[in-house]
Amino acid sequence: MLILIVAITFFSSCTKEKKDIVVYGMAPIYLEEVDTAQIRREDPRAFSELGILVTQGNYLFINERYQGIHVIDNTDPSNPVNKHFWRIPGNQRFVIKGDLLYADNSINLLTIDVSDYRHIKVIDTDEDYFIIENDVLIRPPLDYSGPFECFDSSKGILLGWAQKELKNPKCNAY
Amino acid sequence: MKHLFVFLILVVIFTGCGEGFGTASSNSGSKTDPTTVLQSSYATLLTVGDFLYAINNSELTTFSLRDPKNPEEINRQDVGFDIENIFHQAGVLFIGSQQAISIFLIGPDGIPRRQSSTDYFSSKDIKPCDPVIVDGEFAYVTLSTTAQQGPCRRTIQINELRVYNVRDLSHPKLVSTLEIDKPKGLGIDGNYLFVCMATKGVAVLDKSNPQELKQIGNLESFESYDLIAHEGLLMVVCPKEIRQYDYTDIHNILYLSSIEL
Repeated sequence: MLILIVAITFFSSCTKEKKDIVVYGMAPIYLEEVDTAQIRREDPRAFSELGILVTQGNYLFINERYQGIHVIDNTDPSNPVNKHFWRIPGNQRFVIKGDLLYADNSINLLTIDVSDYRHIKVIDTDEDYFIIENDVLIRPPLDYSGPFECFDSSKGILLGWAQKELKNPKCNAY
Repeated sequence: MKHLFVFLILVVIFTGCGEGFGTASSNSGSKTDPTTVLQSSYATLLTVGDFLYAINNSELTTFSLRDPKNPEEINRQDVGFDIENIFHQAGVLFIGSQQAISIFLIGPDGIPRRQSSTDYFSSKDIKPCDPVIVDGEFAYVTLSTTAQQGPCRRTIQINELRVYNVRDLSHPKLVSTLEIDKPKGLGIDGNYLFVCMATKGVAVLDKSNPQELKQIGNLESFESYDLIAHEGLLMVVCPKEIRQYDYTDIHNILYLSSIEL
């Protein structure tokens, strides 16, 4: 009887499957659809992860990475007022010129009429200028090193990166 | 009649001034003028006259803004890898990347033509982060990285500001380097250069002699990533706030405000 029990234990451990590797790392956050109707003015919001700053006249425009642009009235720099948030999912880069805002959504170049800061409107889209063909080049912020879930452009636009439990991650940042 | 002639001369002179194509750098003009546009150093999209220049990771695309509401691509070219920023001065584009500064002359057709590239390092192990800005004959670029190098994986630190003489666009020359703690974005106003130090605030430098930069001050200890310095107002981009300072008296810089929400 004892020999039978030992034999069963021995064989079940031989047929045990290889363990999955589970680690903490970074994973992409995807926006599934490109829909210019989502681009609109919203109420001002808190700063979370700021990118580039552009000023025009008395206004400051600051990128919120992958989310959009904060609009600040800086007429009095001792007392700046956060006025608007322009929601542009996927946004990383922009410039403003008069009443026109040129901004990306990580894939396309958008021309946005901002003659009224409260009612912004996309008036032109130029496609595929910012999409990186080689997914291998997309990785988490440069100050991160460690495993990450590889970016897959078939899943949507990159919105950002978040800490996540990863199973068998195939990519690594150095 | 004589007074009319003088008047006409003055009219011609003053209408010829201002931000025309090729006469101004990326940040000039009065900040309260509603048309003046200023950009922090990590910009990857900018306009010059009737043209829009856009950078993705490795390509520079030129759009015509003859119809500003409908940008039209007129050129696309490979300009390297891991591009950090694009900067314009007087008809010349400077592109900062993890490998080099590349210099392009904008033609009358708006299309940039490469003049040169400076190499930072030949080693592939090293990946600095490099925005470049230019003032007159000199280009200023920050390099900041921790790298593992060699078979023993020795850790090396490269944290410096480099100054290049770019009077000859085809042959930029390294003029000086200065060690600065984890330098990131930077900005210039006249004789002063402001450099973000990732976790230690902003370094204030006197650049009146580019061969020998002198640190003359330091703003507090906060995380800073990028900035704009213009007409006495310094605007610093931190991860979650914008800090503003008055530097009209460079030896007595006044904190003005912090926007968090």
